[in-house]
This record gives sequence, C-alpha cells and structure tokens, in this order.
Amino acid sequence: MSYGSGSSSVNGTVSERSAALREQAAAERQYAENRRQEMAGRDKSPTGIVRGRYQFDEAKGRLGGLNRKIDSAIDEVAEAFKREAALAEADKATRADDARRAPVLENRKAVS
Amino acid sequence: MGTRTFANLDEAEQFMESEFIGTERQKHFNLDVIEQERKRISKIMTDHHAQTETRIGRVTDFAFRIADEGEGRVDEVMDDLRDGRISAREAAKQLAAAKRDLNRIAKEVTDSQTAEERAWSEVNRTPSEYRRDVARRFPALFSGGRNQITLSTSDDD
Repeated sequence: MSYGSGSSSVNGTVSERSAALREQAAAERQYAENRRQEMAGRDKSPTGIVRGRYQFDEAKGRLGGLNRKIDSAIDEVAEAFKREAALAEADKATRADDARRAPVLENRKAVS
Repeated sequence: MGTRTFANLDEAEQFMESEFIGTERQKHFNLDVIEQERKRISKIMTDHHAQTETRIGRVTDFAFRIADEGEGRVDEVMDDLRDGRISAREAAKQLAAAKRDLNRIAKEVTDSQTAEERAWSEVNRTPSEYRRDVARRFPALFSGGRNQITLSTSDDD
C-alpha cells in the first residue's frame, strides 16, 4: 500500500480529503464566530440568562400587511355591494315596467 | 450551638462575612447552604424565563401563521366573489371574521412584547433580589418562618 501516491481508494484523494476537512473546520469556525457575535449583542442577566430575540416587529409587520390587504378587499366588496344594489334596482324597475305593461304577468291567478 | 435564620441571601452572606462565629465545619456548612439556595433560585429564574420564552415563541409563530393563512384566505374570498360563487354580503362576513382574528392576534403580540419586557426585568437581577421580589409579591410563601435560610452558629440562642 502506498501512502505517497496522494490517492485513496476509499474516499477520494488525500488532498481532496484534506481540503474537505479544511472546509469543514472553516465552516465550524465561521459558525462559532457567528454564534459569538449573535450572543455578544444580547443582554445577559447576573445569573447568566441570555435574553431571547423575538420577532415582534416582523410579526407586527406581517399582520399589518394582512390588515392592509383585508381593508383593500373590504373596499372592493363595498364596490360589489353597490353593483349588486344597482343590478337589483334595475331588475326591480324592469319588473315594475313589465307589471305596468302587462299586469296579468304579476298576478298568476288572474283570469284573462 | 444555635441557628440563625435569614429572610434573604444577601443578609445571610453579610452575616457570614462580618458576624459569624463558629467552627470551620459550620462555616463550610453555612456557605454550602447559601450556595445551594443561590443555585435553587437561579434555576427558578431560568425556568421562569424559559416558560415566558416558550409562550412568546408560540404567539409569534401563531402570528406568522395567521398572516400567511389570512392572505391566502382573503385571496380565496375575493376570487369567490369575483367568480360569483358568493355574494358581497357573504364576502363581507368572511372578511370581517378574518379581521377579528387579525385584531385578536395583533393584541396578543403586543401583550407578549409587554410580558417579555416585564419577565426580563424580573429575571435580570441577582438571586437575592429575585427572592426579595417574590417575597414582596407572594408574602404567604415566606410567612410563618417558611423559606428562610437557616445557618448554623456557635451562639447559644
């Protein structure tokens, strides 16, 4: 078995595995650094309790977006109400007109 | 040999620093009593804070879900209205229900923010301060000599 060839039949070449290990170590260092920075900005109590970060503002923002959407939909529904009322009015006028021209149509029991 | 009881940790510590007279063994015993009490209170504080965090997490998660589902629901209602599957009255009824849900969860988010600030101010203290606050708010827990810190002394009393 040769160790000097720089290759391995198990899992790529030695240099590939070294590169993967270096990459993993770098990722772990980055994670640790990110975590340290994240914790550094947080309040800590005298007994070591770390104050959580909560998404109040994000949640309020999302709910505000929904609120605007509902309001806009309500405006559209108000328009639909007006259209429905206008159609009902037109329908009533048509029926009234029919009744005036042919009263018998409005009275099914009428004998012509 | 006697005992001395203290209402709080800082008083017990003060006693050990300036007044205690006793054997080395009693001193170790007393310092251990104080340390155990400090750990017990610290754990209560951590649990107290964790419970608040869990409750707040649930409220914010719920708010995001309501926002997601609410937007989809509004789209469905408006599609149904435009396609004539529901009347304007029915659409208005469904939108009003969505708005009620929204207002309820928005209030819960605001209340949670206030609760978080209060909970943090309650635990952002020393165990001694926390214990004193609890005693002030729930005096019955400490009445009749309960929850006192008892130290051993060489006094006769």
